[in-house]
Amino acid sequence: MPPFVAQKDTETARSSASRDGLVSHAGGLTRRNLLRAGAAVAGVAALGPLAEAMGRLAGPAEAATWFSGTIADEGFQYRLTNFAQIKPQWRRQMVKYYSPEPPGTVVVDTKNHFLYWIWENNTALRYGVGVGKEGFQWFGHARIDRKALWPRWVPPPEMLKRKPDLPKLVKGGAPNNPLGPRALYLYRDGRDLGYRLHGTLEPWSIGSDASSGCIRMFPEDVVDLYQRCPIGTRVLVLEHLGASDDKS
Amino acid sequence: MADRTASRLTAALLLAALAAGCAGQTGSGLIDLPDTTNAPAEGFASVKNGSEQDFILHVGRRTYFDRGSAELDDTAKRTLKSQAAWLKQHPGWYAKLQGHADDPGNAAANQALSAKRAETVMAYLVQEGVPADRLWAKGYARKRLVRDCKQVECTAQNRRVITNLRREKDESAPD
Repeated sequence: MPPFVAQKDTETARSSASRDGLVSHAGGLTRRNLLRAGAAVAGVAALGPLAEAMGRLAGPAEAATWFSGTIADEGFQYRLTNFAQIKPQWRRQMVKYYSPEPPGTVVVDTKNHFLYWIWENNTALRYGVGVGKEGFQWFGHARIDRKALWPRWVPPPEMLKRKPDLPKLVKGGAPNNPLGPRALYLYRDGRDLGYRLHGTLEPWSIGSDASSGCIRMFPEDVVDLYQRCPIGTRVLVLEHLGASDDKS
Repeated sequence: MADRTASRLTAALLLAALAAGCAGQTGSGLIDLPDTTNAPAEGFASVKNGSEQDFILHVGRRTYFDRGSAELDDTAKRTLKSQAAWLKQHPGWYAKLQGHADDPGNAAANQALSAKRAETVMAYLVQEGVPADRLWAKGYARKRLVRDCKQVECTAQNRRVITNLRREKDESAPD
């Protein structure tokens, strides 16, 4: 499948709106924050079902409260997330990170719904993610061998069987394309694993088990991660931090 | 191992103390943060607009390059446009552009390539409107690898330029 890449030079005042949103909602060093960090350690998966239920309940009118305007990006546009609606733990943040994984690795903790981009000095940039409804079905090492701006979406055959009314292909940049503005494709030994890190049209689904097999992120975050991870970046998908990584 | 256990214990005690309402400081950064995964990284518990942490978290310091190349691809240009916009918005910052290489060729070739990458980034930021007197460039060859191995998992991370914010300009500083 050739990459569906919209090569346009329509650079805009990219992400300043979303940046301000993130900055203004970044919490101070408070008791609440420390407790939140503790809660994150303890596992925040319990919040998932709630968020998912809210997503199901959200009709068109209510869904609007999860967004905060739109932003032009590479010839298309996406809806900005209203981060005031998002639980603090799902927002992008720099955290301490202790693991045997080397810097320059992406680690996905599917159970706790975090994606870590590991840096030097025991730190990592952490993003909230949504994962497959049945829990993620694949664990192990992979590599980002391909990245795409505004990827097209081809529903996998299993999904078409479950939902026959789905379109066979949704063009990149289309408002109903569930992948959003970017996708990073996971490969192993040169083979496309069929798993992607991508955006979402449903910000309420971040922090829950709601997609089918893929790792979804806020559109702002997948745009950010795309810039930070070069082709060749190593990825490790874990059931949870500390779990064995040799299941595949 | 013992250290990790001890730091976890410290973290647990700290959290317990905070829950009991013993925290004397808030928002000042004076509390030692627990050394556990998911605790806020130093300086990142509260990120102010225009701070170095803001730049790191919301813009990103790294621009990547292809094997043997000092050319900017579309992704690199997008990163640098964001950096330029931020630097223009926050004129109190200078930036040292630190070029790195982990490419085919000998030490001299890697030194030259790393310097050329840093200079290319500097030229692009200037083209985007950042005053040249706020920037300077230096090459580090293979001296500061993110990770050392022959595979692309390592080399792709190492072929980069770091836009390192500084409060003053000092081209003679050792690093």
